This record gives sequence, C-alpha cells and structure tokens, in this order.
Amino acid sequence: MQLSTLARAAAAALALAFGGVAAEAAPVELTFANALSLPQVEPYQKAIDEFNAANPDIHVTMLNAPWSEYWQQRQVDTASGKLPDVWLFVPGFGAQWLYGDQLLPLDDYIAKDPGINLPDANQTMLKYMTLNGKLYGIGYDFNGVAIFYNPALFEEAGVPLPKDGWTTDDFANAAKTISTKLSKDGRKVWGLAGIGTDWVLDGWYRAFGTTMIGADGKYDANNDAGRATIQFFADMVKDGVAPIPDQKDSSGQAQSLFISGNLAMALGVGHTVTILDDAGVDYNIARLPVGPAGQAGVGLGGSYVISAATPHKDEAFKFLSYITSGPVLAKVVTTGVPARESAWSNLSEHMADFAKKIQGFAAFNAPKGSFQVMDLQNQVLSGVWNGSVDVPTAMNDLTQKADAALAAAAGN
Amino acid sequence: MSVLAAENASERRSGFFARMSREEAAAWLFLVPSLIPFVIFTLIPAVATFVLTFYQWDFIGAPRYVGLKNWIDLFSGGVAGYSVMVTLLFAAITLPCSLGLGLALAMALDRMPFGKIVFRSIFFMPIVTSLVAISFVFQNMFATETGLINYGLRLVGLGPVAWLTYPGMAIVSVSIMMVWSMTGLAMLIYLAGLQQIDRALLEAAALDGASPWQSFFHVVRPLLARSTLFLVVTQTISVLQTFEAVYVLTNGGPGQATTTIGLFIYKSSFRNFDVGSGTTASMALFGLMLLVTIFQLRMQKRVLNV
Repeated sequence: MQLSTLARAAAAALALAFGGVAAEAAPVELTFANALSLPQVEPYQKAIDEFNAANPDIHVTMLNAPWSEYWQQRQVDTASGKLPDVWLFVPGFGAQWLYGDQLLPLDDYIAKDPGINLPDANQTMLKYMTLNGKLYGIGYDFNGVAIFYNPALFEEAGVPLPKDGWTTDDFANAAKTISTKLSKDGRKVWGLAGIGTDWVLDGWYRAFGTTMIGADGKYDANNDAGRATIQFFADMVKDGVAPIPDQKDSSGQAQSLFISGNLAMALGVGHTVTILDDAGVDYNIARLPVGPAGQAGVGLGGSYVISAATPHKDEAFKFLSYITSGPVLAKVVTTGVPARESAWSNLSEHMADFAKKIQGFAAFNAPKGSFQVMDLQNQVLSGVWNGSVDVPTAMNDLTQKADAALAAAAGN
Repeated sequence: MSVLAAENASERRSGFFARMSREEAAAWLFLVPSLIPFVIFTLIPAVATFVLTFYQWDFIGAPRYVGLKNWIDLFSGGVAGYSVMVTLLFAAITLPCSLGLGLALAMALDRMPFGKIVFRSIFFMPIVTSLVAISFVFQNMFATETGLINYGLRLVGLGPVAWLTYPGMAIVSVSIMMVWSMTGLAMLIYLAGLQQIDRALLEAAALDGASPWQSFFHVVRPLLARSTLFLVVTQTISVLQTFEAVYVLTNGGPGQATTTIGLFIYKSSFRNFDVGSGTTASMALFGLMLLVTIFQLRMQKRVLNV
C-alpha cells in the first residue's frame, strides 16, 4: 500500500511537472516579411495580434521594410540562409526564388485545409502563382489595367462613352476624335496617355494575338501581331493623340494630365483610383478594349508564400491561410483590390468598379529574366515613341537583347 | 675590443627590439578596436567583391566560376562599358560648370556689402537637401506637358522642350540638376579660399597696374589652387558615384543614355540578379576612384609648393 501510494504520488508529481513544462512551452516563432507603407502597418499588426491571441502555440512577428528595400533584404536573407517563414512575393520580382526551389508547394496543405475556399480566391492570381502544376502562394491583392476616362470630354467631343466589348478600333477612334476636336485655340487635349512598356504590354500583345514571352522562354512579340501592337500606340504618339510616354513614370504622367483636365483616357492600375479620388476629379472606369485576337489585359498582384526551408511548415501554412482569408483581406488590403471577392465589401465605389473591370484577365507570364525584358522594352521602345527608330528595327533590336537576357537568366 | 663592441651592439639591438615589441604591441592594441570592424566590414567585403567578379551568381544558387567573362563583358562595348562612358561624360560636363559657377558666386558674395549670410545659406541649401527629394522635384519640373519649366516657357511664348525624352536632352537635363546640387559646395569652399587671401596682395597688384582680370588670373587663381584641387577630387568622386539623380529622374533612359555606373551596378545586382556583372562594375568604379586619388596625391605636392 505504501509503495502504491508513493508511486501514485510520484506519478502525480511527474504529471504536474511535465504538465507545467507543457503549459510553459514556448510558442513556435514565425517571421512574416512584408513591404507595407506606414498606413498599412496598423491593420496588419492588428490582424497578426488577433492571430497570436487565437493561437497561443504560434507567435508571428512581422518584419516590415519599404518596397524599395524589400527584395534586397530577401536576397541577403537567402544568401545567409535566413529567409522568413512567410513572406510577401511577386513572381516578376521573385522568379529566382520560384524557379530556385526556395518556396514551399502548398497543394498538400491546401488539400488538408477545408476552410481555404480557393474558388473565392482570384483565379488569375492562382494561375500567376502556379508553376509546373504546383501552387506556391496565395494572393492578397490583384491588379490589372483599366481605362480611366473623363466623361465631360467625351460629351464635349460628341463621342459615345466606352462600354464593355468595345474594340481597339473604337478605342483608337475615340482617342483621336476627342484630341482632334478639342485641341484648338491654344488648348491641347490628349486622347490617351499612360502607355506602359512593362508587364501591361503583355496584355496588349495578347489582344493582338501574341505574348511577351513565349512558352519556349523566348521573346515572342517580334511578329506581325507584336509589331501591330507597338505600331498601334506609335501612331497615336505620332498623330499627337498621345504624349510621348515618360520613360520613368508614364502612369504618373497620365494622372497629372488627367487631373489637369487635358486628357480623355488614362491607362492605369488600381493606384490610379486612389490618386484620382484624392484629386477629386470626375471620372469613370472602362474595361480594356477587345483586340483582333481577344480581350486585352493581363493581371498580377502580390501573394504570400512559405519558405521551403522553414522548420515550421504546418504553423506557417496555418498563418498563411489566415492572413489570406476573406475577412482578414477585407481589413488589411486598404489600397487596392483584395484577391478574394468575399473581401470586397469595404471597397469604395470606384475601387469596386475597377475590381470588376479587371476580372478575367490572363495571368502575366513572369519567368526568370522577365524583369530584364521589361527594362529592355522600356529602353528600346523609347526610341519608337520619340520617333528616332521605326517599329520593325526596334523589335529586331529588342528581340535580340531580350533573348540574350532571357537565356542568361535561365542559365543563372 | 671588437668582441666587446659586438656584445654591446647586440645588447643595444636586443633592448631596442624588446622596447619596439612593447611599443608595437601597444600600437596594435590601440588599433584593434578600429582594425576589427575594418577587416569585417571593409576588407573582407572588398576582397569578396573582387572574387565575385569571376563568378556568375544570383544570390540564390551556388556561384558559378566564369573566369574573366564579366571583365570581358565590361570592356566589350556592352551596357557596363557604356555606363562608364556615360559617368565620365557627366563628370566632364558637371565639374567645370559647377566649379565655374561656384567660383563666380563666391566672388560675387565676397564683394557683396550685405546679405552675405542669407545668400550663402540659399546657395548652400542643395547640399543639405536629400538628392532623392531634389530629383523628384526636378522630375516634375522637367515634365514635358505638365512641368513648371515648360509652363514658364509657354508664358514667354516659347514652345515646350522635351527635357527627358531624347538622349542628348536627357543628359543635359540630368547635368543641370547635378550642377545645381554641386554648385553650393564649390561656392562655399571658394568663398572660404577667397577670404583667406591677403588683400595687400591684390592692392599691390593693382598698384603695379594689373587689370582686374590679370589680378584674378595671376594672384587669385594660384591662391585658390588648393580649394580647386579639393573640389575637383571630392566632386569627381561624387559624380562617379551618381545614382539617385538618374534613378529618380530617368531610370537610366531614354535607352541607356543616362545609365551611370552606379545605376548599372544596382540594376545588375538587385534587379537582374547578376551579381558578377555588378561587382565587376563596382571594381571598375573603384579603379576610377583610385586614379582620382592618385591624381590628388600627385597634384597635392605641386600645389603645396605654390
């Protein structure tokens, strides 16, 4: 009896001791790297605090950096083997990581998570984050190009307002008519501005029947469709319908002209909504036109990914699933379109309209080297816009340089 | 005698070495606090940078040895070599302009009977203002359709100028901004130099019948040689490192017209993930700065003899 009593007492003491240890066990520490502007930090931090409170076994710490430094920090992290557990990711910037097996494929974790609700997520973003049939990230926002137009200038020129399904010919005619009719007596009205030469050009290429980078990993726009795309915009510049695009910031140039009331149509992304709303100008949003080969427009956005090397994969996925859920995205995405339709309830009227106008776009193809290609497009096509190089010559030059850059990047 | 002398000499030598060892040990001890950070944060990264010029690396995979490829690319007329030429062109344009304007402003201020401090502060303001902020302001001022400069030109009946659209004009525009930001320092250094000049020398020259121009050329100019040398060296090194101005104003364009070495290094390493090209250009930049420093050391000897 005495022995059994002693044994029970010992067992109880052990249970108490181990129970106490278990209760005091440190939570799993996760790092979450983000690139937020100052006003965005608070809602994110609040969401993280709520997650930490609801999951005492996990503690998430956010590491925030300005966008200009964010990717350099990840490069340094990678070189020193200290990538964050969960981090912001954009394939165009981060193709090296995506193609370099640095990211965790999420498919197995998604299969085990009944609450992930992927049909609610933006499908373009899911395609954007898929490589070789594996999903590597879940989007938090989504972006694309739409047309921001000044209805007063359309009315003044007697041009019908843009509507869904309008064609690239309708679009060009509207720009030309408004500019020609209203530019008189010292007043200059531009029909169109904001011609971009980065990823948005891929959308226009697709509308004309080609792509920026083909499935073979080579520059794919030096053909009739690609040349027609560039000629389409070069003619507008040459005819004085569109200003020569600012090589550094063509969308900023378009916004300035639009706010000054001298521009009928500005090509712009989600940020334009914020700028124009802040400026208090009257505007509407139209979907991009349909080209000879279909709807113009490609989409992309930011997503969150998990480092392949994290020792806390399950915990990291739990947090990823939380931070990209509809209710959380509705609170934290304050300057764009959340990548889940269920999170659109808080959007302003203009932003909600913009969100609808960029649905159904193809995902931007961003293999290794796509950044160099965008830089090269910007450099070479500046000669087309200022009239110093013709389109075929520029496209030959561009193809040669882009293919070399893509080959070098693929070999890295 | 000779054995005794040898022994004495040996004792003196061993005492000397013992004493020197202690002094050296103390010297090294005092050097350690600065030597360790120097080795960790300067020497090792510098050596690593040089080593990386022989590799292709994207920060993520293992570095791949490519021999002299990056160096051959640098000198084979590619973008890297072009960026060196662009940087030297900016130096050739901005140095004489900023030094000339700085000297002119300094001479005007030196003779100004009042408001010297106010004007000196105004002209010095670009030095203490962030170059990034300055670049954003100039970017808006240079905008073809909505910029302040073209607005002013329109007011006086002139047509707009495409400041940043064409290669030649973009180089001029970036140079204007750089000269604006560099002139203040030149003005301040020259003003300090002018105030050091003994007025009796100028009065003596005037009594000897020297014209103002002759006084300037034969009296003032040689006495400002040290200031000029200091400015040439510091401003050259500053121009060789030009990055923010072109990054914000033109992003290196149109085409590659304003791509400086600094911008090329940034784009190669952090945008194109081509660390090898970036480090090779960094070493080229180091070489250029070394040449400037050697020039400074040689010229310093001459100037000190003036």
